[in-house]
Amino acid sequence: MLMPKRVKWRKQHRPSPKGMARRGNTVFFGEYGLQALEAGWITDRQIEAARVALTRHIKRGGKVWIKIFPQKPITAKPAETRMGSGKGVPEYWVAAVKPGRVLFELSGVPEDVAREAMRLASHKLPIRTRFVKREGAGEGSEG
Amino acid sequence: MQQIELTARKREAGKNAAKRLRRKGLLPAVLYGKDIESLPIALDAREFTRAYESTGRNVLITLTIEEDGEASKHTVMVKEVQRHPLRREIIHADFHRISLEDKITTVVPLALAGEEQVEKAGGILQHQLWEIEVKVLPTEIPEAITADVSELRVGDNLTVGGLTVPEGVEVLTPPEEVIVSVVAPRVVEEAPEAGEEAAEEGAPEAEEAPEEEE
Repeated sequence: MLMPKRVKWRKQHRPSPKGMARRGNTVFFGEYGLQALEAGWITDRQIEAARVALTRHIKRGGKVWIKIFPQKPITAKPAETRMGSGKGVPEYWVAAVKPGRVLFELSGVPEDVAREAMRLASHKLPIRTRFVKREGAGEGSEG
Repeated sequence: MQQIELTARKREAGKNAAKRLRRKGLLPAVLYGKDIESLPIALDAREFTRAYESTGRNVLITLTIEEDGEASKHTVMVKEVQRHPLRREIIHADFHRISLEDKITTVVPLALAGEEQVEKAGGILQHQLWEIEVKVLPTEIPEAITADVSELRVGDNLTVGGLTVPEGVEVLTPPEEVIVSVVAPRVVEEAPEAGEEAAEEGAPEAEEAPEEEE
């Protein structure tokens, strides 16, 4: 599972993501991408599940880029604990995603395979997404 | 080389003014260049978007700017466009006034030729560089530079140095940068990954494993 090697502070605040993705909102490395349409937290497990869905569908060939990283530790208190006594312990890691962020990229496969792979991957994620293509040769993104 | 004509007018600077313009169907833009002051302008958003999407960025534009009843003409090129992160519509454009006698620096898309031969030979193309930076006269900008990959086999690379560029085009991208590499299909890598994936996805046999440990 993805997680940082070391962090300066073990526990973080949990501000809700505001605004839109100012960076990482275009298909940069590959030909196709999966773009977030909502803000949300994507956990390390969800990223891994989506990656697995992608690589399984494209079988051989093709290259996958994961463009998000779970930087943010999320804490939780043990079950049946009374409130108070400080913040809980870090339980898992999430990537805070804003609308517009390209989450995964794919290249080296035909478009129909990429579309299906991204559709399967999108079912592993907690937010709405859409399939996008590389901009440039007169082609924009599409839903 | 294609040439298009657009009309613009001077606009008020500032983000609220720009938002008002967008609501009216206008596109806030800016014109700058050698020997002229930077000038905030506005033009018809649909007209510009249609022209830009059909021709791409390497097109010469004759921009007529109406200002206090007077019109001035400028030969410009699109330096940059800003798009909305989600809707992808153009929200701002930079126009760079150019001289037709001076060479300019711009980016030209790369087109691949002979991809089928590589795939037939059992290789998978990894396209890494999609455009290159060139220095060229504005009237001689090629629409695309073709990279012939038909001779490449598994393990080969095509670098910027290996490109054949038209005369008068000076490539600024470092020659050692890889455009395309050909790799073998990942067959061996798939097998252990599939097992690992099953475990992570919570397949029945994988669920039993942690219980045994307890």
